[in-house]
Amino acid sequence: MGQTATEPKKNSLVPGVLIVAFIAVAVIYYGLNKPNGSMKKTTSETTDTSSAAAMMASYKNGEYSMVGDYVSPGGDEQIGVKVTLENGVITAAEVTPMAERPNSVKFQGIFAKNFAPLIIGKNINEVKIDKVSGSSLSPKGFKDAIEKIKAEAKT
Amino acid sequence: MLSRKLRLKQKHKFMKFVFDAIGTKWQVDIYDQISKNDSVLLLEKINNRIKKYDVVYSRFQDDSLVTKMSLKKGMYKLPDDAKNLIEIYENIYNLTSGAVTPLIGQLLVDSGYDSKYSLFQKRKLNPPPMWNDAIDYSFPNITLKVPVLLDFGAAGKGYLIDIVSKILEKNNITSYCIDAGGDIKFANKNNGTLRVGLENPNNISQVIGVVEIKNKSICGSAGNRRKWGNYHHIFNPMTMEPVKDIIATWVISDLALTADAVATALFFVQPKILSNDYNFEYLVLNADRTINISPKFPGEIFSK
Repeated sequence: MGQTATEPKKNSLVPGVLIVAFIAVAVIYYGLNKPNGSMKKTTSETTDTSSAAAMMASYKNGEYSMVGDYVSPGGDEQIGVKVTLENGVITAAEVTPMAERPNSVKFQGIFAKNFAPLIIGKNINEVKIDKVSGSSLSPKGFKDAIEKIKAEAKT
Repeated sequence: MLSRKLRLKQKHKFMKFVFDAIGTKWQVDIYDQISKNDSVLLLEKINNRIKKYDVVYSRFQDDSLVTKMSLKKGMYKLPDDAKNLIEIYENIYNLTSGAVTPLIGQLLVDSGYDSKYSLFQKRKLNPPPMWNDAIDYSFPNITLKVPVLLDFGAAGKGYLIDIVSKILEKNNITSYCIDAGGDIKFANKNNGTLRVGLENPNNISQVIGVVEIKNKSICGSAGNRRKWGNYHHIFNPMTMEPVKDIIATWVISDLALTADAVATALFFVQPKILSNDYNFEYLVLNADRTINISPKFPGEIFSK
């Protein structure tokens, strides 16, 4: 055996921090609740624990699910967050509303729906490109047929 | 930046072939120096090869092999090049539990996507037969256990792009771009990259992002341009409905065949189902305008 490689430490803490951040954003964004800072990890796929110095080391690929606790004006609430990590990048994230009080149900619902970035289009002439890729251009026959049907539908 | 350099340098120099084939518009750009005579010969080779492809695989031609096969069961000899195409179809068929299948031809015809583009549903739609019930491929022969109309629309275009690229390379062309209706293969022996805009399916005068490729293929798939009635051409034979929750996919890979097949498959399965067998980067645009994207997708996506 040669030297012992110092493997990048896997750390389940940092995804946790990310998720706290998510929830904090959620809570602050909708401005109705105060995060109390108590975050309870309920499930996670990573097992190794180590010092926080291993920050930004590589994390194990996989899905991480957590449930966050916070105190709403009406009392304790929870919210579920699931992120998918691939090569250290969050490739998918999903929020599951778990609230019980009507107001919290409403706000968690709004958050769950809106927190993922929504894709927008930019006009082709504003963007420097050589080619465009998309649905294949329709064959001419197809277009002609559509026009014919449209014309027939009008008469 | 590099791509701009390339464009400026060669804007008025490179040879450009534009033609219609397999139901879409093709543009082949050749960045190598090539004489007019050679380019005419080259274009002729490409056109002849595409004709040979159509004679076998086009279900839009009355005299094609697949049209003949749809009328009578039995054993048919396929050209040698069919091997790669049939093999990827068979594998993707298995990986998508039959959702991507060349046996979908009749279903597309019945729903209106036929050679005359009638675009009217003709009869009650029936699910396509299972692979093992219908076909048995043993190079170079394919045996049809029942007469069945094969449709190679999911990967055939990518495959033909690869075939055309091989013709170019055989003729010592090393830097080129093949664009078949938005499915693109770009090769460059120099430093240039190609910037490809990703068409916004909701507004074709827009793009939702830009990728940079070099010596790669990019294929996109979306239902927006070939729509009729309640249908578009990406159809799930399991549910007998067009796919609704995903509106577009893009895949970057070495081969256009892989990119094309995987782009279609991503309408039906998660990327990880396919990534064991194929190397690719992907972008999936969902109907709610969220995305799934591979970590190393080489581009920028616009979001708010």
